[in-house]
Amino acid sequence: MFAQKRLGKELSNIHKSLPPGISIASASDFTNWKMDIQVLDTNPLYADQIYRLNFKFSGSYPIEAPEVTFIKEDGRDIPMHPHIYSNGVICLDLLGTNWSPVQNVESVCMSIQSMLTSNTKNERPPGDDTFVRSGYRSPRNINFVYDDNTV
Amino acid sequence: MAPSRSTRISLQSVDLRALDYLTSPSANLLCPICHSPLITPVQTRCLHTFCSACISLSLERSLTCPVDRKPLNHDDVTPAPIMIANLVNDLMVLCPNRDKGCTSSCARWLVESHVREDCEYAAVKCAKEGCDGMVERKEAEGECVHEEVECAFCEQAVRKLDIESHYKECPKLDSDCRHCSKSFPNPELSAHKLVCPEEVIDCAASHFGCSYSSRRSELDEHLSHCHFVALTPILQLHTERIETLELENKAIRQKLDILVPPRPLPSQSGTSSAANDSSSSGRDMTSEMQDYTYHLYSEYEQLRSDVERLNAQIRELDVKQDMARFNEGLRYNDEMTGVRSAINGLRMQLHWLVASRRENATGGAGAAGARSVAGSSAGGDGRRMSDSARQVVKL
Repeated sequence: MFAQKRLGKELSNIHKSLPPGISIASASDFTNWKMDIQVLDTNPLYADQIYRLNFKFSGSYPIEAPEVTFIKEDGRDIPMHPHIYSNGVICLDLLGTNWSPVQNVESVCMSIQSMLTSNTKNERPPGDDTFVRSGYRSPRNINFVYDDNTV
Repeated sequence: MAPSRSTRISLQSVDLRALDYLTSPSANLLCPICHSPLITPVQTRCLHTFCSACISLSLERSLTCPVDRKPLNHDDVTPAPIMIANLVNDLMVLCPNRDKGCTSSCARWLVESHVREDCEYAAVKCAKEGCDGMVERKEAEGECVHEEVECAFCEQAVRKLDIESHYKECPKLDSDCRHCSKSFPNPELSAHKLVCPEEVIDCAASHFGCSYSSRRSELDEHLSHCHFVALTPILQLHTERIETLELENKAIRQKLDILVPPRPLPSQSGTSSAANDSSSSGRDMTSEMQDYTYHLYSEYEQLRSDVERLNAQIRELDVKQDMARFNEGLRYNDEMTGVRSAINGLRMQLHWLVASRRENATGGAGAAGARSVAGSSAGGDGRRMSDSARQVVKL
């Protein structure tokens, strides 16, 4: 109830206006939304690419963080980034220990957008192969070590 | 005399969080967590304002201020200035019974009393003595809708409240088919629904993946060239085979579970009851198997205890025998030592006897010239002999 009311408000705001480079792909219910994001400057890593983010909300959103991952869908790929595993899992403290209920879908999209914008390394996180093979799909069960503040 | 309206109190509760507002309020009056106008506003030490309930929830998860992430305790949260509370309480809200038809709106702090005392659509107790039903307040003055009346057509007793829905199924009345809008008597309606040519239905092979659907009258044409329908017999056959295999598999698994139990007898009753729960189709087979296995188990247990007892006996005997052998060995050893010393004594005596005889022989047959030499050597020998003989005697 609480989560639905708040997501309803967010949705009506999103339909009204969104920052450049962010658009809504689908939001048919209050458990799963898909957002498209785009890096707007001339970063050669992400130029002319659109990426799709999948938001999964629990009943205790916004007290609990949503699960946010990149997904491969409609020809969208997983962006190359030293904090994004090739299965789409994002290692970002804002989505884990540093989540605050004041954040919303829009602010999360903008954080991830700026995380991509400032990146110059065309690489995956260390141990990407093992991580992807271990089959973790849900970021919630992972204890990331947020060790790198440079990107 | 009927009780006046104001004394009839509605017990319907009002969830302030679920209210809808007449106008969208200023963003400054919204809680940053729930994005709704503040309810029981509170203020943190860092001067941010939240709903009381929202910040408690947030602090349960993380002891920081959600806005600036500064450390924050439950004690650092105090009621917000009354002015803020007044501002949000004055916001105009729509009555929570809007869906039922109430069009009134009022300030938020009045909405609870509106529902409790005024709202025409709030649920109140039925006016009739002894009736436990609830009605909307505007109908409370009228007659009780919870008492049973007789249906004018079928003479069945129906609650007044339910009479409308009863007319839809009363066997003496006609209703319209939802699809072809023809009228049928209620008892025949369900039969008609199965053949109504206007109803939109799925292809007969929809459960095998055909997504086609059309009106029943037009479906025949589709069926004649639907690939799924053509494949239905073979798909059906496969489904049935899979089902039988699954059943067989299940039965075999049950047998296996019984024959290879996770633990032996002490937990046997536990495992068998678990197996009992999981099986519903092969229950009788399982119980039969259980009896049998129980016998086998008790026999097996008996045999095992027998073997254990025998093992223990054997071990005991082993130890006893070892001890006996050891004792006997000691005894033999002693005896051997005795015998060996006796033999030694005998040997000494023998030596002495042989030596003395040799002396006698040389003394009788020796030449006179050699006598002095031989005598001296023999005398030495004799002395030595006597010495050793004396020793033996000592022994």
